[in-house]
Amino acid sequence: MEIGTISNIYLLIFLPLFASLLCQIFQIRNICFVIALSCSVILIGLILKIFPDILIYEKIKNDYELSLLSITFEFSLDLIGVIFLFLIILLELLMLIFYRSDIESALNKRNQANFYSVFLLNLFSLVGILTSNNLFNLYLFIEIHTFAFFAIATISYNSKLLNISFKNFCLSSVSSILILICFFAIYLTFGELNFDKIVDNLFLLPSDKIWFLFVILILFSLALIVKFFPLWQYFEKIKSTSLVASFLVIDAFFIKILIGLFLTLKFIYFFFGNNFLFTQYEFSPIMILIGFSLVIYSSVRLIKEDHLKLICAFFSIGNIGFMISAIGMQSIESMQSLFFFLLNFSFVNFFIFLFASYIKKNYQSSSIDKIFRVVRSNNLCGIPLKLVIIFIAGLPMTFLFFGYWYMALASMEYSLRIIMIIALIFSNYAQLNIAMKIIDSILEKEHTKDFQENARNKKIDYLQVVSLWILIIIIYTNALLSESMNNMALRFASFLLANTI
Amino acid sequence: MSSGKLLLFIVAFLPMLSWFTLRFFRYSQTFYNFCYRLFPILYLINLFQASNFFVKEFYFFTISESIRGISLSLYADKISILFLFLVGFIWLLFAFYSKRFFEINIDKNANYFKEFFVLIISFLNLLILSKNLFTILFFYVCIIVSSHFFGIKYFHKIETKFTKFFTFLLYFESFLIFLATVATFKINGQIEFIDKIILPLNYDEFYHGIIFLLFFFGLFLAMVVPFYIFFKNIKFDGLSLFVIFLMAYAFSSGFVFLKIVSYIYGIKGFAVLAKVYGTKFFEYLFVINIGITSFFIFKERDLKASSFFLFVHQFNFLIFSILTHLSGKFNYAFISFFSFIINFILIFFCLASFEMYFKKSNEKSYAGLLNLMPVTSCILFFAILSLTGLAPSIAMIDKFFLITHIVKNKLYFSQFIYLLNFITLLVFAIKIMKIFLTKEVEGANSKKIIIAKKIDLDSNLILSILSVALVGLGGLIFFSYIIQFLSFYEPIKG
Repeated sequence: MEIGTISNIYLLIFLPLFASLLCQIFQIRNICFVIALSCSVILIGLILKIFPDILIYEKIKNDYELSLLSITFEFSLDLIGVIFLFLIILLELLMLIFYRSDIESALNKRNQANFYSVFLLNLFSLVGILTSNNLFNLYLFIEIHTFAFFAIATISYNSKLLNISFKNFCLSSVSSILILICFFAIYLTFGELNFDKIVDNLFLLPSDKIWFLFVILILFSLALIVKFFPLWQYFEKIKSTSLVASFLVIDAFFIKILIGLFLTLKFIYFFFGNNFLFTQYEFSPIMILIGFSLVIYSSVRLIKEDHLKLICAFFSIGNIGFMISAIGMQSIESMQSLFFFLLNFSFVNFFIFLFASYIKKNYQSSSIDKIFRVVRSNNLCGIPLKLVIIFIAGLPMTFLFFGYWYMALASMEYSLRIIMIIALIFSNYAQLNIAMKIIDSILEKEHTKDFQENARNKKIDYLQVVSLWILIIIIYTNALLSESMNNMALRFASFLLANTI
Repeated sequence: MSSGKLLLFIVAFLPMLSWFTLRFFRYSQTFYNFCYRLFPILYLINLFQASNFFVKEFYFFTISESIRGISLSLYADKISILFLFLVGFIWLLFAFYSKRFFEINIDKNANYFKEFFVLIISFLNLLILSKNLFTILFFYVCIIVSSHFFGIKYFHKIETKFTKFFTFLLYFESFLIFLATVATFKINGQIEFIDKIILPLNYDEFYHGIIFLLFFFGLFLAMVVPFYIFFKNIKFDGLSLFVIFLMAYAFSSGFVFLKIVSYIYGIKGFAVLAKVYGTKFFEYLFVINIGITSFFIFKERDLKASSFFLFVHQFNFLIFSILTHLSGKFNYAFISFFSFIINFILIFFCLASFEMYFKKSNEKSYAGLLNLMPVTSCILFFAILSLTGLAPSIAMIDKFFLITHIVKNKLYFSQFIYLLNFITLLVFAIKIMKIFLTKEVEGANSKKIIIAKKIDLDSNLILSILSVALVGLGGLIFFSYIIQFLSFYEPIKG
């Protein structure tokens, strides 16, 4: 393996930290933004540079033979990690561009520098979580992420938001303690903190101590749900116009969930493993049923929902439901569907959320009925929305279509998994219903002339429009490269299933 | 690229190019009209040339491939050639008819209507050339989405409500086709038509049955579920019925069904299913639907209102007819389909001409129309009688073989369905004839007579309608050529 690749990974990990410090040094408005933006772009460039090597070697890591309780930074970047890393950094970059003007108008010079600094620190923690191969390091990065998240919330002067964030912080602390207990228990059992070495020693665990693994599983699952899937906490503030609220909600809904999904996959496949979870304890039906319930719940809620941000939240819940079921199904097809649901969740749902934030800010409403206002007054913003409709409806060649395709392939068997066909029907109905509502709103015939006159005079926030366009270009590029995407889905699925213990 | 492949490419994308050209010349009416009539002619010329290549050899190309087996690819076989000619003929016909129609009947959305038709033609064209189930699904969904957009933009509020629900059912249909496609892929690992019968004959009949049901409801759910009983005042213009229901829906779903039966099941596969499960379920379904639509046909006093129910009635009978031919002489199922399309083109064009007259003369009653517009009225009667199988047209052959088969095999329930259909159509024809013949138009002044005569004898309008009628008549003579041409499918029968 080339030394350049290793150094690139080190640069990938530490660059946000240096950039964060730079922001604190140069407390100049535009400079901080430029630093954050350049850092994110460089990170994406680095990931793309490393990506071919990951495809060849599947896993790149450093290994030190130091003390038992190693606090040296041990990293390991595999196919799953690099995909999640790419998605998360890209979303962070888009968030940065999208909220640029809001941050400028809402925060003063000092707070702006702090904001970008904390943003980069957050980025550092995210890269750390995704690359760490040491449980101690992992715990450390999870804590940095929690603090960074809370620090962003404190910039807001909204007492209600602070209240929610404080609740979130308390729950995060509880889950941090649970994670700490789990990691401590693992260390006591295996005498190691290096992830790979623990996995190697897992086979040496005596069969009468399997219950110990079971307890770790329960505690760790609880901690993950509380810490990385805190959807219920932010439902209250989802309609808020506050910049910080919007930023936090988007962070909680997308970035945290992506991290949660990554950790779930990592621990299910590479720590607990197929043998323990699906052969000894039969967790498969439980996961399928949980996924099924989430899809049905979100589909039912979507039928009468008109608020775009809530629609996005329920879409996300539905996608998560499918992903959980896919994990439970344990087949190549189900894992391929997981890959496409992941893409749909990260790009299409994210687009809807950004668009909802845009119309809320400029047209005072995120209601689906008011979409025609944007389309009629601002073509630059209307075109991406029109283009994304087919992705919402899940028409052929879209992420959702392939997700459904592989999920249907995986579900067509004489077993419990066949219930996912019902979930597919419900989900398809809900998605189509929303797509049709958007079409109806776009082609709305009855609108007043006054509105058109006023709307035309509105000032366009070009950075927000640019971020929407970047996202739509990414979505379409991926859809056009469907062959590569399908191959990648196959690699993703094979990697997970072939390397599970 | 070989000549055959190049021609396939041209035939596949010429209608789409036509649509783009029309959009481009939207603000230059002279160029617009020129292109509007030029492209169907160009299409047919290319098709004539291409068919020589397609008959001899299989040509195909792939637009995009996701994984092996799931690709957007096009190819031409004998079924495709036949249907492409039909599409080309209808396109040419509509180009001449609609141009004149919108000249007389001024409509601010005329260009939008014409463009939508060309778009539907281009998707139909691609649907016909589809090489696998995935491509079929893709273009079927494209047609549904276009219809949905059209319904919302073009129609008035009541019609829009109905069309929205209709297209929603079509979306749901497409999901059932999706499931059927996935199941076929799962069972056989491929969904390409080029490999003839896709589902192996020795496979589990239960799977076969489920997949057949999925395909069946995936194509005809919107017609076999009588959802229209929940809507009041379903009144569509003749041309809207023609474009939305006949071309975008009936043509596409009918074609896909014939293609699926030919390639996925084969006759033997279908016969095995019919033997194991029987056909009672479908027979009940058709009796219920034909019964309900018959009731609505008689209930509605207006020809415009009853024309939609007549369409649903006959479409259900067409599916019944196709299924019956499947267990007899399969190639006659194509004859059923062609006669259905030809008859309804005639009916909807005649209706459109009448509506034009009503609009121009502020008249509302059909009474005495036979005197005012004799040519159009006669063609309408011809089309309705042709549906019953009484008029000398291609439909006569279809009905003759249908009745021979069901009588010979003592299929009593099918005989009942046939009888119900026949009686309904006959009573409907008599009812219409009575109105057209017996009553004199009240206060018909010379101005109204002039308008009626002008529309009735308008060369563009009447020639396009007459050419359809002639094709119907010609079919009576040349039907054996169609059967012979499709004899290529005999080996597929297994």
